[in-house]
Amino acid sequence: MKPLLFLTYRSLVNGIRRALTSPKRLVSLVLIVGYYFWFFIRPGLVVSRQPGMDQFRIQLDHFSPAVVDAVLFGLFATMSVLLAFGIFSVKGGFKPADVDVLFPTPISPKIVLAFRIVRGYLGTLIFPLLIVLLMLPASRRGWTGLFHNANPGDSALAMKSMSLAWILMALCWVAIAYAVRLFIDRSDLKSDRNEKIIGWTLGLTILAVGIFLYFKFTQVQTARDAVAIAQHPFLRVVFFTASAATQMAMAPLTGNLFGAMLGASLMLAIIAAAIWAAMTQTNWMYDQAAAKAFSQSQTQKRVSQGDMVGEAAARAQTGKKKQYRKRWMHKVKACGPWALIWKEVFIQTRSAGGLLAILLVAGIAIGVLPFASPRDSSKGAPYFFLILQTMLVLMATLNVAMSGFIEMPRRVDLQKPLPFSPFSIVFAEVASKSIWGILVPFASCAIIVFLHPSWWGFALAVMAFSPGFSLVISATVFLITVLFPEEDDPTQVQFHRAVMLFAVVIAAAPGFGLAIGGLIVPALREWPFIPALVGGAFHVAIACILIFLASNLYATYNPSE
Amino acid sequence: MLEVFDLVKQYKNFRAVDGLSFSIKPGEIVGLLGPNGAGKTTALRCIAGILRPTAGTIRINGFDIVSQQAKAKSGLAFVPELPSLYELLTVDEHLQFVAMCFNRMDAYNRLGEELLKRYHLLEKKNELVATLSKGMKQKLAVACALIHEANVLMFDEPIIGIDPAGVHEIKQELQRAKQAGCAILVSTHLLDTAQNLCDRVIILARGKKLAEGTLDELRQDANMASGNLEEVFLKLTTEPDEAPPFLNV
Repeated sequence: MKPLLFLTYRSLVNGIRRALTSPKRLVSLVLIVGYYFWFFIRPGLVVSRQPGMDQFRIQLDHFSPAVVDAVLFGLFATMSVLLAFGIFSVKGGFKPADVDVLFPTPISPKIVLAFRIVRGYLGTLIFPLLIVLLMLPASRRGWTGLFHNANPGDSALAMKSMSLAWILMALCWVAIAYAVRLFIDRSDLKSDRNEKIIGWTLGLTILAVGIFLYFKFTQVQTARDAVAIAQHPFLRVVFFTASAATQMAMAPLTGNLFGAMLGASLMLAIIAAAIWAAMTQTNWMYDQAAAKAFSQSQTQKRVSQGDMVGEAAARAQTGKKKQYRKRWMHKVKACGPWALIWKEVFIQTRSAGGLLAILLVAGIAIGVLPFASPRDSSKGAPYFFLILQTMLVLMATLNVAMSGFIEMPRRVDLQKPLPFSPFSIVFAEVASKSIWGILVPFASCAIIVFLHPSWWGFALAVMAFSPGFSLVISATVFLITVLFPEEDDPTQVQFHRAVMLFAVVIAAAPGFGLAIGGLIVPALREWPFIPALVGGAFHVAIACILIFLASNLYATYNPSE
Repeated sequence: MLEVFDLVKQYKNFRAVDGLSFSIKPGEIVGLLGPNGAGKTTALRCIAGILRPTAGTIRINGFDIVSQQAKAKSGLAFVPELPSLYELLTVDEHLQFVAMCFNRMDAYNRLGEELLKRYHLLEKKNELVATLSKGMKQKLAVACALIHEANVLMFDEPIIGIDPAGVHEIKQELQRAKQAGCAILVSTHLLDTAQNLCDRVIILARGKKLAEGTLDELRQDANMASGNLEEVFLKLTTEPDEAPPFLNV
């Protein structure tokens, strides 16, 4: 264990030291710390210092524990779905350096796995814990006050039990993910089948829940009916970890100590069983990690070199490459910087084709769903459609851009010698990552106009707004990636993640402000296309500024530094 | 001593190593040769305990690499081709980390500085591995492999990307280790290096052992009266109706 602690500690210290040696990264770090202090720590300090704040406690006697139970269960269930999908991402846990340096040493694989799980836990929990710690002073007052009349004795415990339940549930899923991953990642043919079974089971379960919720919500007459859905045994069984976490979190409010004990015990038992299951499979761990780390690094290397033939050959060697089909894109002749966009279409369809297909289906479903409900004619429905489409653009672009730009630092040697200015290269990179963020909502809008022609104005608004919005997201992601380019440096990765969403919000805020402001103006409400176009144009302008800034950084970027 | 019996490594539909057997005695250097994709690296990774063999037995100093992993690995040093190192450790910390893994801090205290000096890394000892050139990283990997004084050494393409002085040093290191009684397995594409350095060679193709022995024994296998290792290798690894790749224009 000592060498692993040494490795982690030294890597962390050296990583922080390295990150702080660059002025631009230092400035970014100060901004992040300032942001978190201002928005999370400061409110807590201010609230606690306000004289007479206790008198302003919200005391809502009619706000029953059943409502809180339903809300909590919903939150925990959503979180458990997200964590369950984490099963499919654990494979990135080991790096090529682990394979080449650590695995040939006599350190027991069980110790390596135990350490990995603990590190995984810390990685999973560090941000939730920080947020809990930072927000606790402010939210505890609200929460305590909310149920002060209902249960004055134990209401102060509610926040703590909620946080603990949240943490235990996250730990459950990290342990499950390790056990399942070791089971399905083996280098035998049965593992492929097992992975498909688990993937389909997960997918079908979510589909079943979606259908169940749809039918239940169409029958809802009162708020009480909606709350009762959360108590349905089907949901409580499917989201068993969420049920246990809710039982535990609600105990201080309901006084159900037995329920709390049961919930906590169930989650602890799941954690113990999953870790035991993982430990029994450690003999396979190095084998899987070596294959994954090696293939991943090789794949990244090939993609970064633009070696499509090598990548196709490697996939063919592992039996994953299907018969090659001619694509219409081959007939398109893109010259100059457009060639960068042209090749990116291939890379994205081959590397993220599945995800893009899912997003396309989601986009079409968003277009269709409002008409499946009898309330589709309500005034708010088109605006709801606008919000969902915007979310879709955000998801599609963020996914493609974040995964695509990871490769950017490695492509520098290939792209910089091309006869284009840094601005052209960065623009092409940014624009190519926006393609799907534009096409997906376009497809959805085409369907909405077909199904509901009177909504053409809103569909047109989406089509006017989404290109600029997608471009500004992509440009922001690129800028942050050039600022924190080291994907092997955990400190930089953490900074990168912390800054990303904040930066996207800041960059997109002006365009959004204009579009929303325009929609509020009564004269423009019938013409949503106009404010959307103005907002979209503003996004394009912001994107150009970001691309200009990023291209300056890109021009001086040296991957060897 | 290294013993490999009937080693098989299967990746789903693909058999990377198919029934490989050989042994290396103390004080012997054996070359593992083969065209790209022959299964050399996979075989080395199985021997190093990184990949789990589908079938077969691997013994290092008499210890089984699967059932007695820790004991077997204690006597083994492995230098991978283009090694991936921990970029955020300094050169000295990296060496120290490997010594700690093998529980050989005594060797680190005794040998650490000397190894860094021998491989011209002493001036870089407090610099991050990330700042090293490819050749420097390769040298550091070799130094890390030597820090715990193993008696079975495995090198996967040890001199690729290293400057002539480094190549010379590694060749000398191999000779020193040989004289110290180490069993050494070297996988390489450089046939002249193999001919000069190795006591005998094993030729792999498509995961199977095609031939094993000294140059004279290989000539006999190839039905050649004379010729260097390169010519013998091409004869053995080229299909009868297939021209050598460099002639295939």
